[in-house]
Amino acid sequence: MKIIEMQNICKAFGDTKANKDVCFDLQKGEIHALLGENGAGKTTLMNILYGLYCSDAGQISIKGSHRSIRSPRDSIALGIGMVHQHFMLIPQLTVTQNIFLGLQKETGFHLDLPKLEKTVAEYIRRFGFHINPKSPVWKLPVGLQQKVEILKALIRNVDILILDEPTAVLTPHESEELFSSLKEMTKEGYSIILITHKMYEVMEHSDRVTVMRQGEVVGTVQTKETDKEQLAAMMIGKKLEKPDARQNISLQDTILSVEHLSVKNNNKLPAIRDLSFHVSGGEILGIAGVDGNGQVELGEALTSLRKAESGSVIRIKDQDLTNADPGTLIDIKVSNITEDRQRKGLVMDFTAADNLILGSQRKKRFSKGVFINRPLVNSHAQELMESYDIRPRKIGIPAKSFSGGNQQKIILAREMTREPELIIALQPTRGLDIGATNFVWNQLMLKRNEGKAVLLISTDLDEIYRLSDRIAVIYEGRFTGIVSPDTSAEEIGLMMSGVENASTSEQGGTA
Amino acid sequence: MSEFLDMFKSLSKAGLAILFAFFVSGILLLMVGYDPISAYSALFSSSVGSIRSVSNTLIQTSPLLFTGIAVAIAFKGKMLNVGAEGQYIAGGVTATYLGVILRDVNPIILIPTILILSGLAGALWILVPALLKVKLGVSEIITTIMFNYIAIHTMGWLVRGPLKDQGQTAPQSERIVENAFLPNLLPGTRLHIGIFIAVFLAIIAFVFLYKTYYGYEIRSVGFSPLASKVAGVKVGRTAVLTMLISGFLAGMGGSVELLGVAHRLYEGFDSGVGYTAIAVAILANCNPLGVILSAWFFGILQTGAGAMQRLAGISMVFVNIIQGIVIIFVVAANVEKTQQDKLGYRIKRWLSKKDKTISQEVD
Repeated sequence: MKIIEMQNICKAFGDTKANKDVCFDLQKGEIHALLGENGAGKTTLMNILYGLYCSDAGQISIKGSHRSIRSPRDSIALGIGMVHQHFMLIPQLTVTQNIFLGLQKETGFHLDLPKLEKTVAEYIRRFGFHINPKSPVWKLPVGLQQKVEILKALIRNVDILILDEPTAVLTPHESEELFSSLKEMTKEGYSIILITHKMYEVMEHSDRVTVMRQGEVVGTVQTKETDKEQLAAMMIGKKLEKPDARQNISLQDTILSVEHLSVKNNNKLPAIRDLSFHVSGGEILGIAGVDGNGQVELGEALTSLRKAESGSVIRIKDQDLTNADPGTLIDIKVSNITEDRQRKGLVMDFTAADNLILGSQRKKRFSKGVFINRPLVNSHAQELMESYDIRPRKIGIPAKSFSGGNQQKIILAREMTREPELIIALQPTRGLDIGATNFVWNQLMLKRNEGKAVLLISTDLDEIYRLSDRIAVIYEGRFTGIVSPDTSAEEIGLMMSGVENASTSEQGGTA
Repeated sequence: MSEFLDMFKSLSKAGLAILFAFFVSGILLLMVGYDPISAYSALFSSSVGSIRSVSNTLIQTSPLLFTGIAVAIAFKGKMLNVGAEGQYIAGGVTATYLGVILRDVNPIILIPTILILSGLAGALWILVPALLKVKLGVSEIITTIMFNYIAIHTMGWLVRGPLKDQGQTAPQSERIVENAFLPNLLPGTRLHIGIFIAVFLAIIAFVFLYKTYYGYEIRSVGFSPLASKVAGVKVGRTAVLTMLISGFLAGMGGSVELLGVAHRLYEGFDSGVGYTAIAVAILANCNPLGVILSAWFFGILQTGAGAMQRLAGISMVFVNIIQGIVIIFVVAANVEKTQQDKLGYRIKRWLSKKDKTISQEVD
């Protein structure tokens, strides 16, 4: 039985057509994956279904009758709930308080918390979540916060759930847990739409999959009757490229060396504890680990955004750069691909052209005296957009108008043209589609093959395996070992959970 | 070219906002029994209707233009300088002091010296809020307002004490020497060259903000201090620079008013210029070139207000209502697109509901 049917949905934002004659349907009790690259129009389509956007044309039928959905209130009344990629929770309030926020009609003026907590506890039991309804949300790990979001939808009596990239912030273990919960829910008659661009999630956990590309539906197939290659081809419209081959080159001098680095996190607790390692030219050192084990703090300390505690030494090309000015790093050709491209990597309101010179605005290349050499900056932008295939090719529109993948390409284009000796890349492909991911990987491999040093910090084990010459595993701010990429995933998984690897020393597994 | 396109967009938005504001104000006037047509014709004929009125308007425009650019530059760097009033007074006080004590100096040397030193006084007046902001993270909104009060009351003390003209009973300073008077532009009017200096500075400010790397960094820090820091921009230094430039311009505005029009310091010399400047900057979307037009518009309102009271019997204060409505419309026009979409839908939905109820009634 089709409980949702969307027909010929069109939606344009200015000149860009985000959805073109899109048809989509959902069967009762299925997990339907909506697959596509960034900017393919998946989220737009679902925002229309959820009432956040109004479509320019097209029809929506819910449970057999035509409906016009004008706001989330309408869609919730029709039984549709949506869990966004970015959680909308108030950290200081408890789980129960968050769930009943906005349900004044149900709770009445007086908030009978014990009674509400009971209701929440029932739901929690029913779906096998392990959450304390009295716990403040900030105390919960991300995986559980997401379940609070799901509960928020469930308590509003929806039977259709839209999940937007639900695993983007989860650890592999949390993802597995989420999917087993979702499976349980479908058995109870819930229907689920899963927006994703992760192929294996689609293959493992969905019943059907609809692939979108550039605002159009390429096709809908049964998951059992398809394979990764076919889906990838549908997604990007061409065969997947293999990342550039690793060339055998001899190791160059040590570029980055870190000794006894200790760093504190925002809560003034130790995040990095007495860490020592080095990266040489011509290698990629991959730092694997579950999110929240000090990766961000390490990246920030290396790029002088966070203070290194006394006793720490960070040397780049034999220059002591402990707690140096971020500007000096640019001068000595260190490129920094941050984990938060929208807040740290780009000035979102600046044009693409301005973002492409960010940090180099005073360099002779782009200035005449104190003036910015506008024609040169523009032609520079034009060139980079061409060679890095940044779309749309408009140098004059603000960075915030580009899709996530293209934003990352803007950063990459800027950082690579600095001709870096050392690249520090944190989560460089988080949230990117296959095409953009491949592009980033190729660029990093290219620099390695040119004899530059690359430090890759990532929670994506697949990425670490593909690129690294040596793999360090970080756990609670310490390395549990540095091993060669031949090490099995099980072993690395153990190290990620804190088990020291006996066979390695600090220098460990040579490349 | 993008900044020119942006300018055109915000220009048309501002124009529409002004039109709407006059329309809504007109309705208000009708509701309380006045004739909006005669009110507006009094307002405009007395502010742009003759050479004399045009020059009066330009006299009013000049201090608003100085403080308007000051606020606009600060806002571009997300430094919310609400203290243009205080900096303007600091400039005025400095100009008075120098204008009184520096006798027998050639105007060609005297006037520029006074203007620049007054600008520096304005910059000095914002230095403490700037440092507090950068070093300790204290909100510059609070501190700049507080410095306004310090300035206003210090001025009150000065015109009663150290700077008081002993020959007068009213609390005001001695008159400055004639050598320090700004040259007159139009014989028979009080129009002085201040307006030229202001327009010139607006153009310089525009070039500085959009064509130099200092301006690039100011705007970059304004949009995203974090991304700027990552890119090696010295965020604290840029913030202080932004504030000092802002204070300098407001301070110079105070001295131009003093040397050009007032010629002596008295309580109320500032007349809220620094606060109106915020509205001036917002109407211009903080673009220094736009501020020229926006300051002129506010100059028209303030000049016309008196005539409106005399000829149409409408209190001068009504002009403040028009100003307020203009700002509401400008702010509404600058709300994010998605929010506008939502509002649009709500209005549509509401209208369609109304249509239905009406048609039902007809049935």
